[in-house]
Amino acid sequence: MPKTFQELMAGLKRQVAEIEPDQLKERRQRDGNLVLIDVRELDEYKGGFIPGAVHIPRGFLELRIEEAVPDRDTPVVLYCAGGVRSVLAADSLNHLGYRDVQSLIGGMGKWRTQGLQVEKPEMLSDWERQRYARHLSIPEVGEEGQKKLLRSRVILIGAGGLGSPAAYYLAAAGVGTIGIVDFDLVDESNLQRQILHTTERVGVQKTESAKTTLLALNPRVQVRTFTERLSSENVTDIFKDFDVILDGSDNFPTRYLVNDASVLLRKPNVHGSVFRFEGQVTVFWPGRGPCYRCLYPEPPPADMAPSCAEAGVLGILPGVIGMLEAVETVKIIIERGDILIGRLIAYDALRATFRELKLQRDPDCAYCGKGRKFPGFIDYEQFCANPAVAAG
Amino acid sequence: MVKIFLFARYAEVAGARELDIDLPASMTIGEVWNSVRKKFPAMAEIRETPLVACDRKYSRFSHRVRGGEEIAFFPPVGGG
Repeated sequence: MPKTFQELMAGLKRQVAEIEPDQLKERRQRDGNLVLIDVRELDEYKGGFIPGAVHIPRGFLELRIEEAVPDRDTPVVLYCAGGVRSVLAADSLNHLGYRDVQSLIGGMGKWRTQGLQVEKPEMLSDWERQRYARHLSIPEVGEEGQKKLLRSRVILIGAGGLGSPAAYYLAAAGVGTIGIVDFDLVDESNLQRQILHTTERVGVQKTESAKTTLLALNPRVQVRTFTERLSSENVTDIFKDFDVILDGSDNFPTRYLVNDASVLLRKPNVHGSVFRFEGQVTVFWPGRGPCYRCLYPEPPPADMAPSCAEAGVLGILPGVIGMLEAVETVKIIIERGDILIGRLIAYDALRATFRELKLQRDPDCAYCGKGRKFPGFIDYEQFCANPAVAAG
Repeated sequence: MVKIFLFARYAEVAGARELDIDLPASMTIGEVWNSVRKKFPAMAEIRETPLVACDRKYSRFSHRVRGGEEIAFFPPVGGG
């Protein structure tokens, strides 16, 4: 056993492989798999880091390494400020079975003096750190995930039964920009489920009412309102500035329009719908799974497609489905978990059952079939009023 | 025999959520759907093609069943 720190270091230096800054630069160019890890403390990291490095402070390295580098054959290079802590860290990874670990000689100091590239991290503010503390402590979200949420832009179709809970939680989660499309006014009969709105705002535009509630919850969220009916003319213009589409609409023409625009723009479309005590949720992501038209090439006849107004709905049900949509949206943004692509969850509240079914792309789908050119937007009102004619 | 599950509007129209259909011989899912519709005259008004899951996997009308399968029919649901 070494008696002093110096003896310990001397021993480790014989066992741990080291790499010079210029060699590291060269090796990264040729080896795209290499993971570079900054093991310094947060305050040091804030002062600048090597571009592309993952930040895992030394104290958390063993806890988080398997998440960051699942394959023990992946080449890993560690660095700290001067090349001492990274040797200790490399020794620890060797013990964990990582087979290709190196420590950067001279650490960040030497990297800087050689004039190599340094990046300043985009950091969460103290306010954000406090506000999203419970996200920061989940490894799957963490600081990286929270930054993605803060940069993300989600467009919600409808500020109704599904849009209300979804928007509420997305604003709470810190989604940077929330867009809301709705042309309708708040009606008293909406309040049994549309929790963004209040009794005193009956008669107010839903977009404005939604904005008031969301900003009261989280004043740092950008809320963009589109007080108009979504149409073939405005859909691409509205969707172009957003990363994820959350469909909470209440009619078939809009659902087909949203689907077609999502196929055209290749943006994920988080889909939810409700009927009385039953709801469905899935994610349509063009290129990765089926689209709405793969499942339902033609809409039901208009007289067979009751809205919530006609059919009725348990007020809480769109809450459940809208929140499942919000969860999938967050997973898409933070790029974690198994996204609900190619699967549909059907929830039956009365029987308290969730049923999952595996979906498939229709290779001949008129909109998303392989090699198809986008056929253009259609007259959705007519398509849904008289499906057989319009589809033919 | 195959086990049929009807969802949302289909269950409302038929007045049933689960039923068994006798299968004298191998049938396509399209034929199974037609015999469900015959059993409940009110379902004649349903004209769109439902989403079908055979043993919880997406399936088409042309798919053949031999008995013992569980077939679920999901209507398009538009409400929000």
